[in-house]
Amino acid sequence: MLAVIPIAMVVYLSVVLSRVASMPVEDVSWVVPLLWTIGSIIGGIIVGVIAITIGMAIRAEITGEGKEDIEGGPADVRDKEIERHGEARSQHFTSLGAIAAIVLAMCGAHQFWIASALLLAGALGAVYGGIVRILAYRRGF
Amino acid sequence: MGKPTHVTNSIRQLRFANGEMTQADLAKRVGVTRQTIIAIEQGRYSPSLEMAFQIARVFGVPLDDVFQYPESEEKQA
Repeated sequence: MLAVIPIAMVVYLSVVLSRVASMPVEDVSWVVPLLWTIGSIIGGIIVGVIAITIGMAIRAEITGEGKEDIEGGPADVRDKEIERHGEARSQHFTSLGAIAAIVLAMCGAHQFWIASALLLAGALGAVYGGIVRILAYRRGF
Repeated sequence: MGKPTHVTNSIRQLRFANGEMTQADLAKRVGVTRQTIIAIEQGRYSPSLEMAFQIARVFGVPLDDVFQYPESEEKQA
């Protein structure tokens, strides 16, 4: 599921940067690709969650294990702590993106660069936060 | 990455000494997921003080019988 973000970002950057390379940035159509990128990330995550839940349900039905994870098993204190830990790490990138956007705006950069910097920072933050959560679950927290 | 906690525990032994209680049973009685009990048993997660007391209460033993903090670690701290 985490892979959705880098894939969408690679597609977005390859599309818009190829356009930037061949024409002035003012003429580049970037709004539609950016909206598609955000939409695909949201859609991809929703589809991923549904697929994983169905997969877990099938596995639980076959093996009898992990039923509590699907049947409304509440997130406990450890899950919440790991969630907060990942969110906190993720916000480092979001903050850097906000600072980058301010600097770009002060320098009079085109909106494309500001929007792309914010999108990139958000994507990097989400991926980093996800990796931090996975490591916390696997290696300990 | 080193072990995230220096706290050791005897939960596994206590479970077996208490009628071979399963991790799922202990989790249910403490009010956490089975994964959390597994993580605590394996030393991958340090429970809160409140959860530690809850676990000790399930086994009916003092906290020290469930969780240990090795002497050498205390001196280093």
